[in-house]
This record gives sequence, C-alpha cells and structure tokens, in this order.
Amino acid sequence: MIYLGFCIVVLTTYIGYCFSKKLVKRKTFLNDFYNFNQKIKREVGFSKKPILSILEEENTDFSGLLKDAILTDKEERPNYLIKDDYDLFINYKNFLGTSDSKSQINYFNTINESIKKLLETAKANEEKLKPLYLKLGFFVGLTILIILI
Amino acid sequence: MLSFLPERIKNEVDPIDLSEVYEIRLRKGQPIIINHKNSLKSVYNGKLTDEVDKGLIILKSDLEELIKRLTEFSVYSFNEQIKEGYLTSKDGVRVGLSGECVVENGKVITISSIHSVNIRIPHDIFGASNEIFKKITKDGLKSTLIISPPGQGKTTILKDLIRNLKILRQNILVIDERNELFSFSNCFADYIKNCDKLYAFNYGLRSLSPKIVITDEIMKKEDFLCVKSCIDSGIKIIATIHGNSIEKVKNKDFFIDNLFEKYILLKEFGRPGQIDIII
Repeated sequence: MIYLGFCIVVLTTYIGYCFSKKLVKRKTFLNDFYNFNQKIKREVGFSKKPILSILEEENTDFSGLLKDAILTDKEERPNYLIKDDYDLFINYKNFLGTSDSKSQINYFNTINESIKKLLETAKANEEKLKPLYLKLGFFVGLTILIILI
Repeated sequence: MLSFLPERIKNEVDPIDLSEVYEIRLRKGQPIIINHKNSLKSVYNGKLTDEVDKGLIILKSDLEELIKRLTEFSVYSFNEQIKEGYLTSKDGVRVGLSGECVVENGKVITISSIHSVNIRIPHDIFGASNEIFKKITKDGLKSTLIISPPGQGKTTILKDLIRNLKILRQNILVIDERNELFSFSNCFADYIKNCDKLYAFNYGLRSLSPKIVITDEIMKKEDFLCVKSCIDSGIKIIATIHGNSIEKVKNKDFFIDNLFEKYILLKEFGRPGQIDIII
C-alpha cells in the first residue's frame, strides 16, 4: 500500500511537472524567437546572408520550426505555444525574406515589441504557474493517497 | 543542377538530357519552351516535342516558387542581382528575369511581378578553349576580346580557359559579376563574385595583384575604362562581349582602340570555341 501510494504521488507530481514543462518550453521558444530577431536584424543589415544560412547556425526549437515552416509551408502549432504566439510566428515566417533589407529591418524592429510582450507574459506565467503545477500535482497525489488509506 | 525548379516542372524536365539543352524558358500561362540545339521545343511527359502547345503550362505559383528557391527564401540577399535582371543559383545556373521594374527617384530598385524567366544551362566542355588558348598564348599571352552573339558559349569558353591558363603559373583574377565562372581546376585563380565590375577591378587590382584578369561581358564605357587601366598597368586581360562582328564592336561609342592585342569572333552556331575570325 505504501508503495502504491508513493507511486501515485510520484505520478501526479510528474503530471504537474509536464504541465510546468510546457511553460518552460514556451518561454524558451519565445526567448529564442527574440534573440533570433535581434540576430537576423544584424545579419540582414550587414552581411545580407540568406535566411537558411542563418538558420543553419542555429540549433533551437524555434529555428527548427521556422526552417520547417519555410521549406514545407507546414503550419502546425506545437502544443506548448498559445494561439497568439503561433500567429505571430506565422506572420513572421510569411514576411521573412520577401522584401529588400530596409523593409525587412523595419519589420524586425516593429515585431520586436510584440515578441517582447509575449516573452514577458511567458516569463511571468512560468514564475507564477510552474511551482503551482508542481505543488498541485504533489497535493492531488497526496489527497488520493489519504482517501485510499 | 536544376534543384531550384518547382517539383512539377522538375519532374517534366528531369528525364531530358541537358547536355544538348541551351535554355529553358518559363512564361506565365504558357508552355515550357526548351532551346534544344538552337531549336525551340516544348516538353510533354518528360519528352521533347515540336508541338509546343502540348507542353506543361507554367503557373504563377511555379514562378513564385522558383524565385523563392533561387533567392534561398531571402529576396534581400539577392536584390542587387534582381535589379540587374537575373539570379544565379548555387550551382552557377544563370536565370534571366522579366517583370515589372519598380522605379524610385529615377532608379530601378527591384523587379516585381516576375512573369517569365530564362534558365541558361551552363555546360562545362573540357577542351572548349583549346584552340583559342593556343592562339592567344603563342609568343606570350595576349590581351584578348572574345566576341559572339548571346548564347554561343562565351562563358563556357572562359571557364575552360581558366583551367587551361593554369599552365602559365600566373596569378589570375576572375571578375565573376554573375557568379557563373567558378572552376575548381585552377589553383592560381582568385574570384570576386556578385559585384559590380568597376568595384571589382578597383579592389581586385589593389589587393590581389593579378597578372591576368578574366571577365565576362564587358558592355559599358566604364567597363572599357577599367580594362584600359588594367592593360596600362601591364596586366593581361581576357574578356568577352556581345556582338556579331569585330567591326561592329569596334564601332561602338565607348570602344577604346588598340586596347586588346587580339580579337576573336566565335563562329555562330558552331561548336563551342570554334573560331570564325581572329585578328
């Protein structure tokens, strides 16, 4: 019985952890999005490297998703992103590389604020909800255990 | 070589032997036209056909896809080429563009709404320049102007000449404005690619100290002035120009007399590198 109870607590805590992991992944994605936008602004303005060459140097979830979306036109929202994140991402992908460097840089400057806002929300959510999900998972497990005993 | 073609066009063109194809024309709403040994045909079910109306019709989306792939999804990277009316693929295939010129303050800033493209199939023909090489290196290398109408193999000859010139063991500067002349076979060659000739001449001569300069398609007064300053500095130059007679080229407004030591007119519709007249 003790072992079963222990397993239930571990399982529910793990579920809580999985929920909190989504928040971390979202924050990391938006953070990479923000950093990539800064980088591409420099590259487009200075070296004028093509997008795919810039993406070759990156190895993040964001760069992988962007590369896929460019090459295959695939639009499939990962489960850790909310609709607003993904809409912004698709808008970004659709504009990327379609005009001269001046217009591209103007766009990167404009979209920077939107990415920043989403990133701040994601950070706040992570700070607020991550411990909550973990605790909730643990206590739900504990409650089940108490009921069983 | 034609990896930039949209899938449905690639499937049609892939079975064709490209060694005898000079150009592929894709025009919006029209069938593919293929210049096969200077005869215009279309392609139907992967085979060349004289019934051009049967050929695969090119859609707007095909051209958009093609431009995306050629520019590696980055128009900003290639806008200088687009302004000049062409794009060069990673493999050195030059694609001429026609569309609407966007003008700002009297200058073309880009070409938009591309409605047709001309894909020029490059051919590496080993030995295409042998005859010319012998003539221009007899008693020391001579500055040479190679003349022919478009599509008669000037670029093919220059690429092979770069290979042949290795024998001279001299530093060569290749001014490759359209990224078409790259050849792995000369360890004495430096390349300046994708940039305006005037800039390339200035910077290449100062920083790379060549003994020989090779460049494709000189066509403006400024190009001739660059060539002159090169020759005045004791550098040998091999260049090409569009034309169908030596006299007509010499009569151009911007032509500078006694600049080149040799003029070679290529035989029209002859084999690549076949000399018609040499002076």
